[in-house]
Amino acid sequence: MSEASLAAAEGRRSGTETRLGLLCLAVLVVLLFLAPGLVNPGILFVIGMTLIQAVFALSWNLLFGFTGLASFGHAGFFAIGAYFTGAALRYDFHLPFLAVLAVAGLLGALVALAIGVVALKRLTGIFLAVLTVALTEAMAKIIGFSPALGEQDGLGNIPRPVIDLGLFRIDLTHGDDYYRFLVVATVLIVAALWWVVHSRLGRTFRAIREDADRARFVGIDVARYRVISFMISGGTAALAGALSAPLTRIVTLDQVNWLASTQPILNSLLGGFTSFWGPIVGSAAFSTINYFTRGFPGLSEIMVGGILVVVILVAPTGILGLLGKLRRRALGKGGRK
Amino acid sequence: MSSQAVFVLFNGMAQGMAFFLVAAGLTWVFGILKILNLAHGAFFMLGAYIAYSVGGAWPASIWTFLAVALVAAAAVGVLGYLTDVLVLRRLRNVDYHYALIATFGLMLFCEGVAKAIWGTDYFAVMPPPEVDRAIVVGGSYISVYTLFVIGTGLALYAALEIVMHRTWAGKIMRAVSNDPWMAGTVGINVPLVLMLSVVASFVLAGFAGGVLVPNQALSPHVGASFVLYAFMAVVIGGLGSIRGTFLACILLGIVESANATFMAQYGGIAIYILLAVALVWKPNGLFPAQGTT
Amino acid sequence: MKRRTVLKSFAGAAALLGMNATYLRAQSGPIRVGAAFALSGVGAPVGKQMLAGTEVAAMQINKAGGLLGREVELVIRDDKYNSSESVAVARELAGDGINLLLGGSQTVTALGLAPLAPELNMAVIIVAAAGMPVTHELFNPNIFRATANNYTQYSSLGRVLIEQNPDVRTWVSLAPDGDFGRDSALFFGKAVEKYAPGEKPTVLDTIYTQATATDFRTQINQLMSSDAEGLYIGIAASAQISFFQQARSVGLYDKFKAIGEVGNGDITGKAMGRNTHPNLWSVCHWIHNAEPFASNPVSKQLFEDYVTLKGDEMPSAQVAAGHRAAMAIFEGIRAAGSTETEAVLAAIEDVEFETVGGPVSFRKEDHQLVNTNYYSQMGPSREDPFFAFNKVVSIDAAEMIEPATPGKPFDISELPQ
Repeated sequence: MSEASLAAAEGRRSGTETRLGLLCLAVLVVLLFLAPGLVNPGILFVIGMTLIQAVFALSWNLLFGFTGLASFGHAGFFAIGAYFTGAALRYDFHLPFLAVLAVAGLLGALVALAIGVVALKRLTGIFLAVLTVALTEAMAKIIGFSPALGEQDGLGNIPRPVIDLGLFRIDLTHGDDYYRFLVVATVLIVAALWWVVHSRLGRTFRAIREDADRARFVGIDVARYRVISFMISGGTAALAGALSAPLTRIVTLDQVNWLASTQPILNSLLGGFTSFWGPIVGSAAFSTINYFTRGFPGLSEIMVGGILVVVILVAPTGILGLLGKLRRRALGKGGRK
Repeated sequence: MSSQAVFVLFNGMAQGMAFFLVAAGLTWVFGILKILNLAHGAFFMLGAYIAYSVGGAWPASIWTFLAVALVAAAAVGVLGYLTDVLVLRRLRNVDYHYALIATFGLMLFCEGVAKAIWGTDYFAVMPPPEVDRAIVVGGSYISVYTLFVIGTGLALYAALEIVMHRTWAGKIMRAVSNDPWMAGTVGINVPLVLMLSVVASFVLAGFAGGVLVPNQALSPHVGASFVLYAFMAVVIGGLGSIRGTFLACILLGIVESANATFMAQYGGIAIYILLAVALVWKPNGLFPAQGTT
Repeated sequence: MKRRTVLKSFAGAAALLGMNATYLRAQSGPIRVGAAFALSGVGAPVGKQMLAGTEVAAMQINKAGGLLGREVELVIRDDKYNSSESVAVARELAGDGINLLLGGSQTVTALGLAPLAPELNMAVIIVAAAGMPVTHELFNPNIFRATANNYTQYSSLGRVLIEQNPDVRTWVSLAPDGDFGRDSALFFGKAVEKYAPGEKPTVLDTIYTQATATDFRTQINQLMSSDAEGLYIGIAASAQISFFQQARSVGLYDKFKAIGEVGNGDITGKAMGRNTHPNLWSVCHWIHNAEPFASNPVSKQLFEDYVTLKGDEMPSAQVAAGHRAAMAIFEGIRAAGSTETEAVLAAIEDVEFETVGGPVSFRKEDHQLVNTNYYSQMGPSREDPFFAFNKVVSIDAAEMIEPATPGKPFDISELPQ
């Protein structure tokens, strides 16, 4: 597995390619923004959920692909954001919606900080995986015991927000308007994460992922940066959850279990975790597969399980890794070392 | 001690041994391969279904019951060999994250396959007639089948300890576990040992399926309900340590049982608190095995 | 600039195409009705049976020449026993021009679906969700509940149990912690007290467990140590079977003279076989070969057509629930003479139609089904499938229904005791 060399290859992309990439991105964003006029509301909802899954997967992959830590309980962070936002809108906390989103993200980051300070210094690998699973399960139990959060039935009937900016109001109560807001929010979050990954901070994360001991040797406070990465990741996941609550208008325990935690893992690996864009590509690919197999209920487990195993064995760098390999072959540059 | 406390301890022991029957194979394969097999519970579930298909819902005697459990063990062992060749062997020398995710995929796949073969109806297998009755101890009602599960768990633990520490096979396993390269240089066929360890772990999963199938309704989700406890036990006990896992199973069983008795309104939450405390207090488990840090 | 123009015309064309197709389909061709059931996950065993009933209903309608001279076509989706998925499915179907939907095979999915119906301008028949909020605080004119609610269902079950077993003087409930478990145990216990002939029986404090638990030994020990001889079990599906397996082996069958269960019915019977409790009462939607169903023409026809369609001679009771819900919407379309949402909604309020359990209609104020509810008694049998239904008792919902308070939460303490 030479993800490092792949990542480096990506870094060496020529200027024209970058410009082409940016153009594609711009077209994509415009298309997404115009989608309410282009597709029916059902597909629009699927696209909205895909955007949220993409942000969620990016948050997981910041931890895994860029810092080398695997959380198997990321749905816990997602649920923190979703339940907080759901409760804030349903019980009217008298907070502007943007503040609700900010608090949701902050809550996720704070929980990540608490876990990180207590556990991350000592735990990595499998221990961290099991701890995150257990904490998420415990959270699901606690929500299940809380009448205000709807217990087993979930928090339903969540109203959509109106953003009051003083000078003017943005009414998001209609589905299409909320969708457009979601597109803008997603673009901003993705841009922020892109900046994090390509900043000094991101380079430090990657140094830790590639070799924690060497990073320590050159004077990087490994534990501290792991906690920071965990916080950004947890906060982003909570933000994804916060954005989902007004879209689905119901938050349930289905979003806080083991299976929900694997969705970002699946999406990241499917798309390719070595690339920043991998989780987004993976989320889109997965939604597409899901959409076209919706008429064949019951297949989902065999299919999802099969895809995971095959991806790990055949194409551990995912769709983007595979495309990169094909492209290099086509350009005659030969394979990797 | 009050009769309630006695019951909590007894029931905790019973649950703990059920967890241990599942966790034994999990910790075994981890000790040697350093792979946490998330699909272990799914193969336990397949073992239970195979036992049901072979032995039916009413076992004729305890001997046919055990024989059926061994058939299930053998069948799952064969599946283990196939899994090793097709999947696990390719994951030996890669980052453990890949193994976690691949075995997770395998787990989903197995559940899907079970649904395709056996459908989504539930089945109930009864305990063999010899143990299908109750005794009353100090005002508590205890089924003899539960005693049988406790006995099987203890016997399995003793057997594993003897194999690991007293036999030639155990010495080879430990040698491979501690340093595969060194083991290879002194003439041990390391790939063969690894393959046999995987098969042994699957055999244990299948056997647990056969023995525990009368414990609860048989559905494609039966593995998931056990395996989370098994993971916790393996992690609390110290990955790869049979003794640690054994003690952790008993601890989990008792905590779960006490939770259900004294705090029924908040059932099922105490074990997670136990896990979090244990991980923070002893990050490498009660009995960290060598080379797992 | 050029790109934008291209995009705009592309958008326009797509919208036009999409609209045309939908419009044309809505006017001619088959009547498309959405059917969203739990077809995977833990709800699948029940959801698949309900879907079978709905499929039979559509087949029967089509055989008889369809509705308004058009065929009925079911558009089947899997809501995965998950409320956000049910929301996704409803939006997708609405986007595809479908305005009539059968869904909410369980309360979790109904809670997601119900508030959505007005926004999507859909007429939604809630197939089997019995949670009180659906016709109370979540009520809106676009939804109809085609099944009895928890209050009616479990009060009636309690009444049947005490009337049929008047010598059982002490009762207890084992229920999952959560809204449904607490409510159903409460309704059951109140009814046992209210309808007991003669002296008021004792109802002990409910023992709680978890809906998905696999080990019930602690609760079983509590039940065994109590004075109770009558039991209500609020846990369903595989957990209930695990409970019976573990309870039987410590002698709970001898101690408890009568048990009422939440509605597993033949699911428990098939799994437990000759180890079924000898006096086990269930909420019952349908048993095709037991009276009064056996002589009901709708029931006979449903059984015949089910066998033709599925090749299975043992339909589950849930098949009738799916059939009933589908008939509600088909009869609504027939009475309305139209498939427009408004017209169908108005028509369903007034229709009365035949089901396997006699005529049913909806209460106008809160769109709650008013029907006859049935309770079956089963026990072990010597012949395959080794369990048998011995008795079926009915109670008219009109006697047991709560006053309609659409928009307001249901509160049992406000009812006359």
